[in-house]
Amino acid sequence: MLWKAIFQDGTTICSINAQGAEVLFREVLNKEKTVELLEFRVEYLGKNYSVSMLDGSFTIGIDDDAIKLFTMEVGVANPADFKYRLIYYQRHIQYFGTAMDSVGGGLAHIGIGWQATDKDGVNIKRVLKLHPLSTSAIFELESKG
Amino acid sequence: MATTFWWRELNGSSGSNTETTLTNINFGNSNSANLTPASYPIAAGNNSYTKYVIGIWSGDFTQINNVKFWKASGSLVTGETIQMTGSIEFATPSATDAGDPAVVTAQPAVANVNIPWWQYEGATAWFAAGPGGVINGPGSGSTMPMRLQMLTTASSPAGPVNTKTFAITYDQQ
Repeated sequence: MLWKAIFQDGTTICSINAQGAEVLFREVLNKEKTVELLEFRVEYLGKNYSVSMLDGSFTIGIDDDAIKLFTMEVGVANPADFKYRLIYYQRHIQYFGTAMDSVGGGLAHIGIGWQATDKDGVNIKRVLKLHPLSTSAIFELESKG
Repeated sequence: MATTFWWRELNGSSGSNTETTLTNINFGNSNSANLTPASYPIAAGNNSYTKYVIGIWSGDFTQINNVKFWKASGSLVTGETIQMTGSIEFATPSATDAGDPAVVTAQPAVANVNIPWWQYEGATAWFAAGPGGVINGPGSGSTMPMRLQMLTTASSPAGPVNTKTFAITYDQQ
C-alpha cells in the first residue's frame, strides 16, 4: 500500500521517498498546517483511490477507467463552504490467546476520506473503506452526518 | 509502518508501582502479574484483585487511536463476571468490586479504551504526546491502559473457569 499527498504549492509527499525510505503520515499533518492539501491518494491491491480536499469527491481508478463519486447528499448545508479535514488510517484487529500473544487478526481495512462541520455545527464524515481481498467487498463507503 | 505490540501489568501500590511484561492474564487472589491460579484461587463469592494492564505499541508510526476491546470467545461459568474499563488511572489493586461494567462480548461500536496524553517509551520513560495524540518523535510508542477484574458469586462452581480470548481493534496512521 502506498499513499501520496498533493499540496496547493505543487509539492507532494509520498509514503516512500526518493531514497526508498518510508515516510510517516505525520509529515502530511505537519505540512498541512502551512500549505493547503488538495488531494490524498492511496494505491492498494493494484487500484488507485483518491479523495479531493477541494470538493470532497472520491475517485476510484480500476485499470484505465476511473469512477468519480460525490457523496454529498441533498440537505447538507453549504458544502462549498466546507473545510474538509483528511481522514486516513489503517484499522487492525488482533486476538490474544492465553499467553497474551497474538493468535489471529490482521489488517481489517484502510480508510480514506474526510470530515467537515456544516453551518449548524453538525460533523459530517465520509470514509471509503478499502478491504483486503479476503473479505467480501473490496471497498465500501461509510457516511455519517 | 512496522509496529510491535505487547502487554504489561502494573502492580504494587499507587505511587510505587511495578511493571511486568505479561505472559498470561490469569485472575487470582493476589496483587501480582503472571500468577498461577492454583496458587491464588478465588473463593466462590469473592473477587479477583483488579488488574491494571496496558497494551503498548512501539515503532515508527504517527498515531494510534480508536481502540476497542472485547471478549471474543470463552463462556462464563455460573456467577462469573469479568469487568473492564478503559478509562482509568492506576490505583493500588484490591479485591473490592471496582464497579466497572461487564466486558462487552462483541466489537463495540465506539472506542472503549482511552489513549492517554502520556505515551510510553522504553522501560520506564514516559513523555507527552502532541495535540490529538500525534506522536512527534521517532522510535516512540503509545499505550492503552485498562482495569480488569473477575467477580464470582457463591453459586460459582469449583475448579478452573473457561479460557477466554480477548480482541482489540485500533486505527494506525
